[in-house]
Amino acid sequence: MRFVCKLRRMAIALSLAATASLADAISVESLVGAGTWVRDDHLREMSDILLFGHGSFIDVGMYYTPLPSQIPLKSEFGEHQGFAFRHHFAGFSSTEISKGYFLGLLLWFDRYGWDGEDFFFFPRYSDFGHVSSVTTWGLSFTDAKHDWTVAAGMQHQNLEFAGDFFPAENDSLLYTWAELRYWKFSAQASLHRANVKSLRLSMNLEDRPVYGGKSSGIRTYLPNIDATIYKRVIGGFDEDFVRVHWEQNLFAQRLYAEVSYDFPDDGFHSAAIKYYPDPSRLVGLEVSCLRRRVYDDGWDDLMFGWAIELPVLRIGYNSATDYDRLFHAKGTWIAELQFNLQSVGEFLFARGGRTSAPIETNTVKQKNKQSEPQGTGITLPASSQTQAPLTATGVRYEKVDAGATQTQGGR
Amino acid sequence: MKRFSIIALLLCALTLTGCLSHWFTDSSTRLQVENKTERVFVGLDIVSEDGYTTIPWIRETLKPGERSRVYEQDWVGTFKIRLLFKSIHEICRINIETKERDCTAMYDQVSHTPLEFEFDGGSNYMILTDNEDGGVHILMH
Repeated sequence: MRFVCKLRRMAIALSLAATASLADAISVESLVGAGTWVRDDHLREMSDILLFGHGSFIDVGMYYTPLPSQIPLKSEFGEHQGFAFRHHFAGFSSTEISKGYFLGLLLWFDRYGWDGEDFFFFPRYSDFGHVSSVTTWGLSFTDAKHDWTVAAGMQHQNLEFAGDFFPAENDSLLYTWAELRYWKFSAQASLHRANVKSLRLSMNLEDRPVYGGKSSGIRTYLPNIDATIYKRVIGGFDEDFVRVHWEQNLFAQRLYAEVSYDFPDDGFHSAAIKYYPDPSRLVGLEVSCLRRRVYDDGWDDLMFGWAIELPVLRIGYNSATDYDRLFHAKGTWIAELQFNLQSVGEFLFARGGRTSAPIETNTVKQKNKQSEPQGTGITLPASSQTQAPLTATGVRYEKVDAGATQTQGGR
Repeated sequence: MKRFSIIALLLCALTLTGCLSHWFTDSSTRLQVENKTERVFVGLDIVSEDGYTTIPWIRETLKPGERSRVYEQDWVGTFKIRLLFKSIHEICRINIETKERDCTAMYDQVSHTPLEFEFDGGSNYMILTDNEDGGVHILMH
C-alpha cells in the first residue's frame, strides 16, 4: 500500500513538474463562448466538403490530455485541475439520384467543455464542470454537370451541464444555415431566428486534382480566400467584424501559407506555414503564430507553436489551430486522436487533400479457375441445369372436418 | 463473433470513462479537520480571489481537541481558504446601587485573511494548533 502511495505521489509530482509550471489555465469566458466557434468550425468544414458536392467523408476524433494539471480552469475562486475535452464526429455521404445530380447528407457533431475527470461517454459532471454539444446536419443537392451545389440544414447547440459559477446561458439554441456554391465561389450564412449571425463568402481558386483540376501549373498557385462577417457583442454594443482567411500554395501543393486577419480594428489574428509531404494531406507539419488578445485588459502578445499531424494522431504545442479549437489552451502538449478520410470516386485523401493518397492497389487474379477441384461444395448434376427450375410447393393445407377440430379443443 | 466484437469494443470504450486519470489522481478532495487549539472551530470556507464571494466547505463546531467528520468536495487545484472560530465576549449588567454584576456570554465568528492552499485531491488532514504569537498554525497532511 505504501508503495502504491509512493508511486502516486511520484506521478503527481512528475505531472506537476512537467506541465503545471508551463500550462496556462483556460478562462470561464473562453469555455462559455466556445459554441460560436464550434458552430463556425462545422460550417467551415462543410463548406470545404461541398466544394465538390459528392463523394463521402468521415471524421472522428478526441483531444487527449492525460494529466489534470495540463489544462486547468481559471475561475473566480482559483485554478481547478481537470480536463478540457472536445470529441468530434463528422460524416458526409452522397448518392446519385439521377445522372449528374447528387443528393448528400451531412452530419457534424461535437461535444466539448471541461470536467473534473476525463471520459469518453459519461462525464462526471463535477461541481465546476461545463459540458455542451453542437450538432449540425443538412442536406445538399449538387448538379455536377453545371458545377453548382445548394445545401441547407440546422445547428443545435445544447448545454448539457454547467457548474454553479458559470454565467447563466440559454440551454438550447437552434440555428439554421444555408450554402450556395457555383464553380469555385460559395456563399454561406448562419442564422438565429431571422438574425444573420455570420456570412461567409469564399473563392477557392486553386486547382485541386481530386476535384478534377490540374495537378501542376499556374492555376494550382491561385489563392483560396474567404471573408466571414461575424456578429459580436462587446460591452453591450454590436461590434461586427470581418475575418479574412487566405490560403496560398507556395510549392507544388506541399507547402502552404495561411493568414487570418480581422477587419476593421483587430488586425492580425494568425498565420501558419504548413508542409504536407504528400498533397493528400494524410501527414502534415505546421508552424504557427497567433496574436492573443484580452479585450478587458487591453493587452496582446504573439504566441508561436507547432503541430504534427499523422493519420491517427495529432500532436501540437501552442499551435494556433489547437488554441482556437480548445478554448485558448496553451503552454502544454496537446494530443488529438483523430482520423479523417474523404473519398471522391476512386480518390482517397485526408481533409483538404489535393491529390489521392499513395495507396497501392493490388489486383488479385483468379488463377486456374477451370481446373478448380470439383466436389468441394454442393454440386448439382449436370442434367439439373437444363431442367425446368424447381418450384416451391409452399404450405400445404389440409381440410379437416369440423367434428375433428372440436374434439381437439378448437383452435 | 461479430456481436462479441461489438460488446468488447463497447466495454473498452466504457472503461475509458474517467479511468485513465484515476490511476494516479483524484478528482475530489476529502477534508478532515482536527482542532488542537484552545478556541472553538466553527467552519471552513473557500473565498474568491477578490474576497467578496465565499462558499462554505465545512460547517461543524469543534471544541478544543475534537476532530471533524470527512467532507468531500470537488475543490482540486489552488484556492484561498479561511477558517472560522467562535469568539466569546462578556456582556455584563451592573446594578449601580448594589454594584452587582450579572454577566452573559456573547458569541461572534472571527476569521482571518484568506490563505492560498493547493489541494491535489484525495484525503487531506488539517491540524490546527495554537501559535506562540496568539494565532493559529495550520498543518496539512
